Amino acid sequence: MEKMKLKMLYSGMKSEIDIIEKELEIALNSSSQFLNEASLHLLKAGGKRIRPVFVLLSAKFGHYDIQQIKNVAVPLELIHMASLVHDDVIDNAELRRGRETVKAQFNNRVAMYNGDFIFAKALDYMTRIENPKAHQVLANTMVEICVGEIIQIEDKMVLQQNLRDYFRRIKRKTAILIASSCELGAIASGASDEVVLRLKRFGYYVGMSFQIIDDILDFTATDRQLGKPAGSDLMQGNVTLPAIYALEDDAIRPLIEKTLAGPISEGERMQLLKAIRKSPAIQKANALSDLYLEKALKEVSYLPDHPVNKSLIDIANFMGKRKF
Amino acid sequence: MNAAKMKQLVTELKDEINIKLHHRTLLEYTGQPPIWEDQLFYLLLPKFNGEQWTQNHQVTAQSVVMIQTALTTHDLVQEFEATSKQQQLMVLAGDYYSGRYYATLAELPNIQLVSELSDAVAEISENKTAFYEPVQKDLQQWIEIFEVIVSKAIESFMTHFELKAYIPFIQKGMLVNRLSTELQRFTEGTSTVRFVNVIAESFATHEEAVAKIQIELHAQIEQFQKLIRKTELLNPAIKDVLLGQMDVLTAAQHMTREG
Repeated sequence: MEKMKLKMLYSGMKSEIDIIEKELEIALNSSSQFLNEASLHLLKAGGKRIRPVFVLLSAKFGHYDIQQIKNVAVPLELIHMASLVHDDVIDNAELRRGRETVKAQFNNRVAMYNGDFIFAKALDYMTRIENPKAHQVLANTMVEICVGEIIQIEDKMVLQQNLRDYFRRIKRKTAILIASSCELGAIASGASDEVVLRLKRFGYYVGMSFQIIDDILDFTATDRQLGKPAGSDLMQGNVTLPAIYALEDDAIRPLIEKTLAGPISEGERMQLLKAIRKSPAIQKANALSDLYLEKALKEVSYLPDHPVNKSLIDIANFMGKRKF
Repeated sequence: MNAAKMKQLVTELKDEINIKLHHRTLLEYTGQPPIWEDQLFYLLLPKFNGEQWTQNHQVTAQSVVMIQTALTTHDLVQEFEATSKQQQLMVLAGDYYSGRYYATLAELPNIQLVSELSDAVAEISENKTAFYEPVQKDLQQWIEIFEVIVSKAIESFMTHFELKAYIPFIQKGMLVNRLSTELQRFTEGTSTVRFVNVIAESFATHEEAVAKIQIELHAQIEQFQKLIRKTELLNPAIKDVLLGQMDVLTAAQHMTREG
């Protein structure tokens, strides 16, 4: 159902997305048998391709040339892919989107080399864009994503967290790459500074809303929908927004503490999920996601009138309201 | 330029890089970035030899070391069960150093070199992966793969600045240094890259594999010594330093064989 919705939202860009898919395949081609197998695996796993789509849409505010813009859209998706491969090593994850991870398929070391290979290919594509500002934005983004992940590891198992800690983390972990996708699409097409700034802000707010929803779904979606056990974030020590809210409930707090101390039994996991799903935590987290979504939509209203505005609004709404 | 001055410039370059790669949490859990000292020396070789060396050369050299350090950091992630906080941060340390490398070149800006180094990084990653693939190669082929891993990034730097004449010295010099280090690590059981382990698998015993690699290393050192003595490119002070380094390596090899 969700996939169908996304397909419909992208329907106006099908030919451009096909170009991006083909380029991703070319970019990941390697002389190494294992790297090829790993990359093929990643491509087959699919993904929402949100980052390249935002690059394409943002580029419509300037001189749009798909042959030029693909050189920004492809690296953004590649950087996202590479970071997932490395994240799976950090999380010791065997499955992603229901498929074996690269580290499970081979080992951690091959996953590291696979990620490094993909990062290199991303930067190689990006160098077809000569504007130094675009490179400075992307380089800063890459550093900030790492800093965000380092903070996430520092914050692991820490119960004393406030909303500021959480926002600081997800801004760098997720929102900044989506913000940069919008910003870079606009920069590469030569859009005005005002439009670049508005799109960057739009991407940032959408990214924040998207990550909050992702963290909610980790508790509310089924194992099958997630392609991994629900509650995985907390079991790995990551205290996300629904858990921060749920900690306020004296009945749920001990369950969260036990989960963090881990490992917990299947029955305990079910008990935890049931308690959090029933608590106001999910509703509160949804309300915050909606706030960010509203801010994102407001930014669109400041953009020049363009047919693409509707697509930005529709995709933002999809991301902020998706069910898994 | 004398040996002491060369050493001082190597130290200065290393300090500059450590400052750029500094991150409090990474330093606490993963230690100082694993910078290869010999790479610093070989990067500065043209400067030692009196070639024009601007601030642009210096900052670009920093970026080359940063990306090589990023890749080396990922060699320190364990093949299985990298679940400790230190190991998790090791993954991120490599990515962080890689980001800092790109930021340094984007700031200059030198986008052309990003492209050239990206090709090098892709090739290095492919060659490192080859150690895990089910392919049969002889000792010579494995050494060729190892040479790419060790010197490809610095070769890109030399090509970029039209300093290609230095590449044969860099290839050979870094190869013997790293070969010697890996051999020592293998005998101590502290290997990071799988290089010597892979070669060892194609011999009946580890001792036989080590002996073969030692013979190869000795031959490579001799070739390098000949190359240094014969060349008119390098000034006498550099030749003395390099020949001195080879004497130290040869002595270390003798000690390993006898001990």
